[in-house]
Amino acid sequence: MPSTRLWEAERALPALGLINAGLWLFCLTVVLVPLGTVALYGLASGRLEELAEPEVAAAAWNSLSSAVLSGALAVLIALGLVLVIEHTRLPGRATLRILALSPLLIPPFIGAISWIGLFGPSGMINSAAEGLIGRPLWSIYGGDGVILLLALHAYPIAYLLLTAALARIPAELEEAARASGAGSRRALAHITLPLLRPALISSFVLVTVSNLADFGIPALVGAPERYETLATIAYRFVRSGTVDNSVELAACVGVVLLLMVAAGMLLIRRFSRASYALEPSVSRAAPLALKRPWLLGGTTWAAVLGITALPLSALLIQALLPAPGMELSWENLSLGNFSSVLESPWAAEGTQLSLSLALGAALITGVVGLAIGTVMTRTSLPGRSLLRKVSLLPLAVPGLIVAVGWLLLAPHLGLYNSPWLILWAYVMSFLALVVQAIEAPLRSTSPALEEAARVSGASALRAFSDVSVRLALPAAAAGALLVLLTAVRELTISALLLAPNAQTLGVAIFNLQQAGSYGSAAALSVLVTVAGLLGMGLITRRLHTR
Amino acid sequence: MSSVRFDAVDVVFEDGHRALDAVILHIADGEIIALVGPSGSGKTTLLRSLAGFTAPSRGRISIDEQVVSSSEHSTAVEHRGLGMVFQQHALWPHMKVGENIGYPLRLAGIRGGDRRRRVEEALEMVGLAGMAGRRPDQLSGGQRQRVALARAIIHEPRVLLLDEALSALDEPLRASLRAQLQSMSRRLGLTVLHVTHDRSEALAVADRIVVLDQGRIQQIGCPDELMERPATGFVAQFLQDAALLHGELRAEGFRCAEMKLQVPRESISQPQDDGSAADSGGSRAGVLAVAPHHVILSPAEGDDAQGAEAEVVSSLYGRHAHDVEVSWAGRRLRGETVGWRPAPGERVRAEVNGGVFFSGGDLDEQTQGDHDQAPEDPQGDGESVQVPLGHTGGSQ
Amino acid sequence: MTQTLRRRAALGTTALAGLLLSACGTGDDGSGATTITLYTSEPQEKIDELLADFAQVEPDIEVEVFRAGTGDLTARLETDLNAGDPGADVFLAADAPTFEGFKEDGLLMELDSEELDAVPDQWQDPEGQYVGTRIIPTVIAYNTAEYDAAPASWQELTEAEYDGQITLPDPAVSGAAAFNAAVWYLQDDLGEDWFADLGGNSPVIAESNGPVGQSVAEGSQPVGVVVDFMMRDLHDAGSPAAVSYPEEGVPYIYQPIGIFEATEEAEAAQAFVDYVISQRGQEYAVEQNYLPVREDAGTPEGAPRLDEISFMEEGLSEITEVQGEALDAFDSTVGG
Repeated sequence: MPSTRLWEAERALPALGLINAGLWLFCLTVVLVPLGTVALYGLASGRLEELAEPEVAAAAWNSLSSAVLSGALAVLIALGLVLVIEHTRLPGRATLRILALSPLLIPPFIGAISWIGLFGPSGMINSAAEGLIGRPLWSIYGGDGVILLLALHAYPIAYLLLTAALARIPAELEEAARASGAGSRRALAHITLPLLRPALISSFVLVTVSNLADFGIPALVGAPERYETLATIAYRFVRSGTVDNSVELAACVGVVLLLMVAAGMLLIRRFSRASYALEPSVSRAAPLALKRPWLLGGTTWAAVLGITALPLSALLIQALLPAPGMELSWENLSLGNFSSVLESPWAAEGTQLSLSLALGAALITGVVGLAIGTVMTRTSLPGRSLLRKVSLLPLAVPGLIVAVGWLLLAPHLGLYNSPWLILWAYVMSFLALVVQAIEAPLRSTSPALEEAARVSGASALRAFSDVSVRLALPAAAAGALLVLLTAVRELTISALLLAPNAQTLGVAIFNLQQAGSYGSAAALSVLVTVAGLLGMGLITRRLHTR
Repeated sequence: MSSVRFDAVDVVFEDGHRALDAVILHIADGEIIALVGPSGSGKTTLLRSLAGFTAPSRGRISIDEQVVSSSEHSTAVEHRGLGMVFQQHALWPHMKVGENIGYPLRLAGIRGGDRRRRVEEALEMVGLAGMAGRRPDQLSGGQRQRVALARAIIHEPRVLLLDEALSALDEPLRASLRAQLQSMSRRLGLTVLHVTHDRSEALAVADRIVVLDQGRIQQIGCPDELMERPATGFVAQFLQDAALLHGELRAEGFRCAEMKLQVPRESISQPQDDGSAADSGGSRAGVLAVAPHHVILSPAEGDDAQGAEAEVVSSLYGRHAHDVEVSWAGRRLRGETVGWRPAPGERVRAEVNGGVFFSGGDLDEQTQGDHDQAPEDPQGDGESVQVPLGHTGGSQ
Repeated sequence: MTQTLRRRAALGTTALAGLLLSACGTGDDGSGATTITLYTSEPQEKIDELLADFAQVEPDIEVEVFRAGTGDLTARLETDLNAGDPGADVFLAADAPTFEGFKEDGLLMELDSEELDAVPDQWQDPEGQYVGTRIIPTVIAYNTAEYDAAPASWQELTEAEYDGQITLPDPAVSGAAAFNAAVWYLQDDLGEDWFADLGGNSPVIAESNGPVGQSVAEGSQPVGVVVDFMMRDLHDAGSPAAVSYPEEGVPYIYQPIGIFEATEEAEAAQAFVDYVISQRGQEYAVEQNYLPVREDAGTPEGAPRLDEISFMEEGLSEITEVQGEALDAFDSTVGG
């Protein structure tokens, strides 16, 4: 690797040192202290050995295997969709893109319920299959269902990262392969895919780690087949009421998860080599002309509709029926659930709180993530790669355990029952989304660009901010968007940290669902999803017309 | 090693822009063709439609009498048997130099020692012997471009396509690579289509040059032909930096309408001379293309400022003649001086002793549309030449 | 960064801070009202309605609610205690064993209420530290579009007719379900054998009561083992769902309420507890489809009277004792 690090000679630059120190301080207070608190709490209880049980070992194995497999599957789905939607001239690509990103907006437990409605043992599709082929098609319950749903839920994260990476590959590289005699498929396999590798790895890491912490999907889909993960086991300890001081034990589970991630990071380091510096491209990769656009287009539309619109419409039906199980007919459909949700006082308050928290988290993670990402890739400051790993850690810890950490700290910070507490917990949990989104594009930015700024008379810091930071801005914005969308429907952290009389959207949906108000829960989910899709449509349109 | 034929090829883009307009071109086996024109003239589109990256809306493209592109049929890029070099080298950063060069062979199923030997040969041919193990980012710009060249020729392509292949390189390097390219193409008997905006490069390497403007071929010819008998005012302006002066050609000579200037009839050549109008004593409106070597500059003698009507704007050193631009009666003209070199701001005598005349109709046709692109020569002063041209073109 | 960009960013940050602060909105309004905090697992809508009614009785007492599932509630309380005092004055959730735990830790204060006399002894703490608020039995629910007649007993669920049709909450995750499992386990005519037979019908183990109710109402699993009020709510909303109280009796909890010793507003907290178990409060509970803890509060529409229901009564100590065993038995038979 030639020097993409610019400041071998400028390590002493005080301003950069200050930035680095600031970032470390930030990560220390927002990430390490709460994580450390909860880890110490768990360790100090001396109950770690209580986890040495076959069921915990089995859950650990399930966590690992479901996270890794769903991570790989999610990256594969995302890659397929990105190549078809962003790399060809398929009709209706803009709509497809928005649809493909929609699973991001649906809270995982709501998504799981809609899927169960389709593929549960007596779900719509399985019942239909029973009539047609005499046996259910496939039961969603169990490990395979967990893996599939985790993947379907998380692939949009990979989609966004891969799209950004694809846009950075100059068109000529693939054209040169075509001219050398490679068909479009071989050009893809030999040139584009290897160049996407850094982005593939970083999105795989991100998705895998965040799937380790997911609770809703394994709880709803895995439990019927006794498929437990560490996240559900932590919740089980707390919920069952059969374990004394259950939170201590849950904290111990958190320690186990942190250890797993740390070990995973050491492993992944061996596989992820530095990415390639790409010349800034004059021409964006030319979309592939398709031999049979209608065949691929039809398949893609069917697949995207199948994994997004199908569960969404199940949700919509649920929202339009006054009560579940009523016959689906025009007379029975009503907007009653929507109006009751819209009229309820907490819906407005919940929206306001969720939106401000999500915006705040997106803004803070965007700025800090940008700083970490640039310091990490563009400088030779000490400890920069450790910084990235630290920011990644909280992603693997279930919301319950993150929340316990903050709750333990809250009285000392004077933040008990304050929305700021939730904000910082969000920032901690979602920082990694921005850092990972920025890393790959920045690594492949040629250092010559910054050198050019230096030659033009910019100071090191100025060149850094005018060139490197500027170039990373779109990626940071994409990462912040990801944070916004994830945070606006967050459930498990807010459930524990909320002040009395306050609700976030995720908690409101969960509460409705738990109380048996399925129609209202579905209506609120539909509203959140539709609002999110509209917002996303506006944002992506602006990004594309710019 | 193949012939290429364009039959009335149109390329119209999705936004309605007509990038190629009825292009007819025949390239003989083993010929080196340079494609020149201002940016936006369609030269890259022409190259890319031969490559197969762009599909023609009408017409046919054939290689060796075998149709590769028509409105019904398009042979995939990879089956056309081409080699291509891009402006930005387009080396694959994840492959070593040897892998980059050997890639076409790998696709052709050539493996093992055979492939290694041919890669070594290709590297040797471009002067990079022993560099197969390097990574592209360990090479200099010129080395990378030579790797790209080796990659493009290793599988003995039917046609070698060069898309501004030398434009990103520095001058001495560029010259040496240019020579290398020519000798290598000859040695291998390659048919070459070379897109460039550098006129001197085109004149230097090509057997024939194709001048494009606004998607249409303006002229095809060998360098001498183009320099001596440009077919249109545009070609003269683009290739020779000629100024286009508007006026009338009469029996006694050319009278300029924009400035006080007369050029005697006998020193004016007419490419499309059909021996009718002018010789019969009538007068014709049109433009006179005045190339720098037609503009004679001489120092003002003593205090005689009377005849020294031109003011020097810039004066550039040249090995054979100095390149001097003057402002003369409101127009800017480029001329050449030999033996002396005026300083900017100096007043000098100017005289036009020749030119090529194009009668009006021709001019009208070639200046329609938004003709505001200047030739891409950094020293060219297309702008000042173009302004009066646009005026007259419209008023006639 | 350009000047305008910087200004815009500053504006954004200010606006955001404003939003957050207003969203915070816990502010004292200085009206002289007393504020108490309630931790509860009651459904949001139900607790909102109940508090609105309470506000008519005691307009000077404001109740702030932290609503969450039982598990999240206990987790929050545990963390609160780790850092100091409970964040609440009143706790209304879960079951008697949970409150026994609080009592052991000395967290609760003795209730001082005349209303306690109206509540039968078996539904309150003999030492008066907590008292039941609503009777929540676990019953058999069924989809009326799929079945004409209700399964009349727990035993009937093991018949071949119900193979693949049943769903029930996971006792490993839900505290209430674990409690039920222990009660069933202790019954002579049910016990481990019944678990085994039930397992033969391969029921779907759902995460909690919520999904069970939904599956039954939708008909995807037309028979469910679930709390009764939820199905009455669904029935009222129009779902084809009904409940059956099995003849062997029903396991139940009485969702206690208690006041934390650490409260600074004991009087207001006491007033709230009084209201909840008062005749008015209990009639309100009945309106919300709950079975009341008082005989004089009536009974929800379509539900049997309290004296018509046979309850499975088991001592708390027995339940605690066999709970582990019961869970293991359940796991190895039904869960497998």
